[in-house]
Amino acid sequence: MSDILEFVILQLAGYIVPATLLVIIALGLNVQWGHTGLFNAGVAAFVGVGAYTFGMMSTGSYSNPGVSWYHWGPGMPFDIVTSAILAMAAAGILGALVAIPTLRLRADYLAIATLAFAEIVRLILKNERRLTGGDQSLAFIPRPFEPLVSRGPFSDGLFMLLITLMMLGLVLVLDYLTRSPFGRNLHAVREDEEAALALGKDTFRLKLGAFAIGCAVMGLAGALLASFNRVIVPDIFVPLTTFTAYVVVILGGVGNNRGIILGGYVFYLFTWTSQQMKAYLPFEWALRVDFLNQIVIGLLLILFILFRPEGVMPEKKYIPPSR
Amino acid sequence: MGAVFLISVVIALLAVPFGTRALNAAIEGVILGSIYVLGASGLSLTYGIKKFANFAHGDMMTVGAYVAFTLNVALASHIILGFFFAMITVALLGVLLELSIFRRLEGRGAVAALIASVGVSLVLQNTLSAIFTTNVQYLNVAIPSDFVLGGTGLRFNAVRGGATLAISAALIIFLHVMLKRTTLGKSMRACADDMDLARTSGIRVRNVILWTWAIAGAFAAVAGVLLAIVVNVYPLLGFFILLFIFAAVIVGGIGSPYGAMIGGLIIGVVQKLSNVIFSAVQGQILEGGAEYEPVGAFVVMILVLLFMPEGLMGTRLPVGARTAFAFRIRRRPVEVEEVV
Repeated sequence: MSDILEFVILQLAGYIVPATLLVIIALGLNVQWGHTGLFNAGVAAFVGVGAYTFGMMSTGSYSNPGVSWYHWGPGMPFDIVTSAILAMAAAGILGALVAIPTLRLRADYLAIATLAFAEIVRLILKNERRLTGGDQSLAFIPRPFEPLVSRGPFSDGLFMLLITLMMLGLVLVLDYLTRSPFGRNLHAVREDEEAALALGKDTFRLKLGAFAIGCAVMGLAGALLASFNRVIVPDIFVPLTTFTAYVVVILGGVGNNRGIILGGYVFYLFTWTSQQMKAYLPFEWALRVDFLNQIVIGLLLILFILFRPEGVMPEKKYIPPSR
Repeated sequence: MGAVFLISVVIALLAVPFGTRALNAAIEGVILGSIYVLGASGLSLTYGIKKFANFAHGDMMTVGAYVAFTLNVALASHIILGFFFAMITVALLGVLLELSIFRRLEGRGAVAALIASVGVSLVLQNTLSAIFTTNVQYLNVAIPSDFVLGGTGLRFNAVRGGATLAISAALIIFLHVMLKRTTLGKSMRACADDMDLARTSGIRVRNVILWTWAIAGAFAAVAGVLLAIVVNVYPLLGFFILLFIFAAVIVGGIGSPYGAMIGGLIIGVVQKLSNVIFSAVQGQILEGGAEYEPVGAFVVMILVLLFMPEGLMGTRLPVGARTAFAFRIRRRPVEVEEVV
């Protein structure tokens, strides 16, 4: 009986955890693109920065010269909560640094600069072995309650509950944020930047704030990813992650956090099914499943932007209560 | 011209410690840059008229490379035929994309079209992966051995270098004559300047846009085939080159094909020179060495964005605005408009 229960928990966590991670990344992107209209083409890099910062801070310095495997970290590892906060800070600060030179310019420049930034981050993660472990991976990243609960189905189940609760908490915070004056200003920037400027809003600071907050949320997603997987390699953080996040946002509803939760879980169902199918297909077809998966992502982007740019659940108009 | 002078000075300075390695890198850079020029001028043409950054431009290059690969390797015909069919195919692809997708997104802002182009890019590169697999392939072109210049150690290859430079130069001259002398070219410049004004002056704007896509596509195809000859071809070829093309376009001034030409050469040379520099510091400061080749090009791009966002040949901003750009916090956002 308990064998069946363990199997169910493992399978459920294998679906829920990655789907929730995708939702969190998309929530961060929604602050940037959905609410403010900023195009970030380097989502994967900010998730990667978060994941690696968390990994290095929570495991501390590591070296195993026998197999030339090492990575940098503080001598005394930080606890999990501090590491996660540091991961969010690192991603947020880097996001602001990329945004400062480009936010004043046309929308396309931010896209190109973030794409270039993502490429540089990928190169650094891959090559600076003493800093990040490089291709050798960065391993032994702890999970919450690690010494109390050893790894296994129970730990997976606990992580699943934890990440779901965090995601719901994040939605509450972001919903509050978008209804606050700050969030309404962001909408003003998205709809008509010149008009917002004419009303005396400092649109540059608003955009910078939105971009940094979004990147920090992506950094949190990276930290959670590293913690759940225990091992991270640079190849997880490829541009495809970025485009998947865009599909989730546009599928669910641009600017609607509830829609994004729906979009994330529905979209990951598709990815998950295609991954499960691979086991039953001959090798050369199993390879093509990935390509087909990505073609579908591309087609979804094109079709939604053409025919339903507001997504399945459009943003609700929010009118603040009168005092 | 100041930029060309600056680059020459940098090459000369690097030649002191690195000798012929720096000079050979500069030659390689000019050759690679001349391929970027073709990609960048096409991207700049579509940008000037459609006003969005086309993320699928790199993948249009890859499609061209694979058309040539199919003809040259699978069907064993001459590479000239490969060039010809690649140009026609990608030109038609560009027209098809405009008719089916980008025409419908007119007036919806730069970001909508940009996202659609990301979708196109994903569809193109994965279709190629599914058909041709992700293996690295080579074209069947006879490449003579390098020509070494006396005792100096300078190398030059007649096909990799000579033919590439000749083809790009011919196409650039063609583009220049077309833009300045023909009715089509003049209409293209007019449309890039002011679409509504061009329409009211009786220019058939729709046709001009289609021709622009066709020319940009044909240029992208040639760039793709040249890359396939000089390096190799794999499905992500164009996607990785795209960033350098963007860098070239930004350095030159976005939307200006003439700026894109200079920008392409600068980015190519900077990329190869940074290869030399990063290899020299390998193991001392950074471990990656030559792997960091792209970083130099991106740094130049970011410096241009910071201090000269209009690029080398773009519209000049008011004098005071240019130096203040990077440092002042409270500033009006500056729209960089383009003049062809």
